[in-house]
Amino acid sequence: MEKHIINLIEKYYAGQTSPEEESQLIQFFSKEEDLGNLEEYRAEFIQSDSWQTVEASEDFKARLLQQFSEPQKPKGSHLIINRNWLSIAAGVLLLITGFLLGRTSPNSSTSPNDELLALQTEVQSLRTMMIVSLFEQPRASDRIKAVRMAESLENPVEEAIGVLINAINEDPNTNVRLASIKALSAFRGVPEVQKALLSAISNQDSPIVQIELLRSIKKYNGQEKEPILLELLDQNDLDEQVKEYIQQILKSI
Amino acid sequence: MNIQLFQQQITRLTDPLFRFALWRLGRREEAEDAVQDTFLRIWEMRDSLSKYDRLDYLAFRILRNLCIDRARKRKLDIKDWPKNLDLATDLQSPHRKIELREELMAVEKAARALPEQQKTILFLRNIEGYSTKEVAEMLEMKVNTVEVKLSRARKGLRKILKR
Repeated sequence: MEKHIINLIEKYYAGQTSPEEESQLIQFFSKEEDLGNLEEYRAEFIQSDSWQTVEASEDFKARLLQQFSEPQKPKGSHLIINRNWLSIAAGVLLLITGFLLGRTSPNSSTSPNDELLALQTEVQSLRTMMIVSLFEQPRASDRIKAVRMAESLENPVEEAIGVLINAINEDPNTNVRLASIKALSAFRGVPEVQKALLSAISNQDSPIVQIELLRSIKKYNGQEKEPILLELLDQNDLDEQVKEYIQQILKSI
Repeated sequence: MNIQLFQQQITRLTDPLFRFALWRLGRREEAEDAVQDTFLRIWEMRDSLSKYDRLDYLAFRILRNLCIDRARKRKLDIKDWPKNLDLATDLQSPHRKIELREELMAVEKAARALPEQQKTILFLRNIEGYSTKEVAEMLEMKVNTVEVKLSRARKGLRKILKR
């Protein structure tokens, strides 16, 4: 038996084993007992076998099937429809802008300031709608577009702040989370934003995102960050660089 | 392709594609994003899918390119890879079990250090169990080239592990 396995191992390293022969090898190396001289090969074959059992989560599978579920509107076309809708929304935005600008002409009977204010509110509200819609897109690049749009809002609109905070805590993509942190820095004067950035740190598994959050927090003068940072330092699995950065901030308080 | 057929393909291909993306990228959420993008791209090509004999080949090709793009954008870190892969054996010795876990991590690390094509070939042959001929068709290579690259990948892994 052992001679047969040694022959198969040789064939394996020459890249000439068939999938069936490889199954034999995997089966052999999955045995509970000590394999003597052949023990050194075990990890390589166990690795293949271990990966074969890895599966996507049920939640992800359900989301995928749902995404491509409607007979006439699978996500691909849903995405196209949404993109079309966004183009239409952008068009409407331009039309309203033009229309309202026309009404604010010197011949208009209403006050130009009122008209301008109405125009700004309309534009703001349409932009917020577009941001929310883009955040629902499956592609990370679309969600980053939403972040960019939210970033360019002149006033701290509650809804935009809400979606950015949500993106920091919930978005699966690191780049979207990083972009959202940067965007939220524009609203640093809002106490809820500071609070949200602070509480988001412990939700993150990526040290890069944690450091970006800490960078943002460093800029705020509030003392309330101290207990949260101290609590974070107690976490056993905290990345060393993150730990170091927290200590720097604590020294500067 | 209609939506029902597409759903069947999703059910069939999600796990293998996810495994590949996770194997290449290390992070579950990033792997999910890449798989989702792959299905979106295939759906966008739905009118011309009849020219492809095997949808799985097409899906793996798209996903491989997406993974390469993503890996270029950020430095991959071995810490990202799943640490708790199920040991596919139940060893009697607890000491050996710990040792084997460490060896398994070393294999993971060594596999990431392989050249791009070798990594893909190693995955398709060792983990997904495609035959050399199938891998050659999927990656549009000669069977002999796949054999050579597979041999280099396996020997390379062995060499790194023996250091």
